[in-house]
Amino acid sequence: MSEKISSSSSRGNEAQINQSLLTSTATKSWNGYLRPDGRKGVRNLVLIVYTVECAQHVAHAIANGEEDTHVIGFPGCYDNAYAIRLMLALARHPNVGAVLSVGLGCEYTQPEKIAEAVRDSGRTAEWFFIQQSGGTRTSVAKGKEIVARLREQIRRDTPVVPMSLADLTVGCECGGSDGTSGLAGNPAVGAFFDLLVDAGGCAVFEETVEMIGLRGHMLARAANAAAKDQLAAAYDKAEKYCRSVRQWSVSPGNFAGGLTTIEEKSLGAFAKSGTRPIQGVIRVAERPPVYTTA
Amino acid sequence: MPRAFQIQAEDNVATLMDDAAAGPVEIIGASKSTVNAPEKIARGHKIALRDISANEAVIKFGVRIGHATQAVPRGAWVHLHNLTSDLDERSGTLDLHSGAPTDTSSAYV
Repeated sequence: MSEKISSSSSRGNEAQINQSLLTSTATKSWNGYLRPDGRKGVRNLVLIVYTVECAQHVAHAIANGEEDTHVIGFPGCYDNAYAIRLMLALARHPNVGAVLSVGLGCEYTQPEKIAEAVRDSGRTAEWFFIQQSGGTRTSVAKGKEIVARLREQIRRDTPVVPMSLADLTVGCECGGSDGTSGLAGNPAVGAFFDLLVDAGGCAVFEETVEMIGLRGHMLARAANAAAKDQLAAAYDKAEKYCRSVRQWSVSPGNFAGGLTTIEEKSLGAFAKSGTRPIQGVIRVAERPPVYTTA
Repeated sequence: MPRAFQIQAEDNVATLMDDAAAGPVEIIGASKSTVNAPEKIARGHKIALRDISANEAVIKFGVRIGHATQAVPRGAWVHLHNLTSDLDERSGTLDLHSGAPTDTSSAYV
């Protein structure tokens, strides 16, 4: 075995390393894309939005082989507020420079309305219905022509400005858990989140159904009473759901990997959130409120 | 020697960092010791750091992760056969090795 270092000096080294990482990371600057609302993006994408499942194939065929495009959409014939909020938030995301909205023609969700909302945000947007464009093949060709034009325009016209960690919002998602996740991968994400928050950026973690068993542990991280109430409500909702469906978000693969209980898996997942105070709970498509770390 | 990592000082289990055959396991992290495992324990799985009595809390990350369903001697593999969730009532019914549910039919009655 290698020479052992005492835990106190090991912690001292770790603090020093964190400090120097923080200093270099906090001052790091790179070029980003300035959006009309003042936010900055790390990408300059043309977003293709489909407004019903029947337009999904055409949207993906338009994007196929095209640089700097992403596809999002909503499958239902009938809209709902959740879906519309989510699409509009993504269509006006800082990484998006322009939008092409594609509908079939008989659905509730209106591609024209999405294009209008995007234009109101200062971006360029176009839209069309497949049924008014001659069908699948002609719609794909038309879409590709529009995407090429939009991409050329945003590459030419988007102001390129310096940005830093303070301009970033980073979210963490789930991954397959085993007994090592809570020791290595997830704490590494948490350490990055601490650096990000200390540099003035914003960190978002999710999956309250995988915080089960950690009610007190999580509430103790709340920045204030309001955040504590929000966390408690989100936790209680998730626990109620798990109880009602008799499902606690641990899978056979988790067990085979060494995890035994949802409480244990939750601790690994929670490690991704780092150690800084939790400012509150946001819903899907909501922007994190601006706060100051003092 | 295979190693196991103890996260917090109050933890009564540690996580195997290597696959361990029956025999000595080196404990590193919040404390240092050697614990004798009477059976093989796979990487990512847990080893008891001290004797844990039935119904006693099992502690990892300094937090209660469930309770022992039987007496667990120091060195034992701690998993579905001797540790169960405080919340998930199905946790004690899972197949020890694959983790697959054994109560599937009861979910449909």
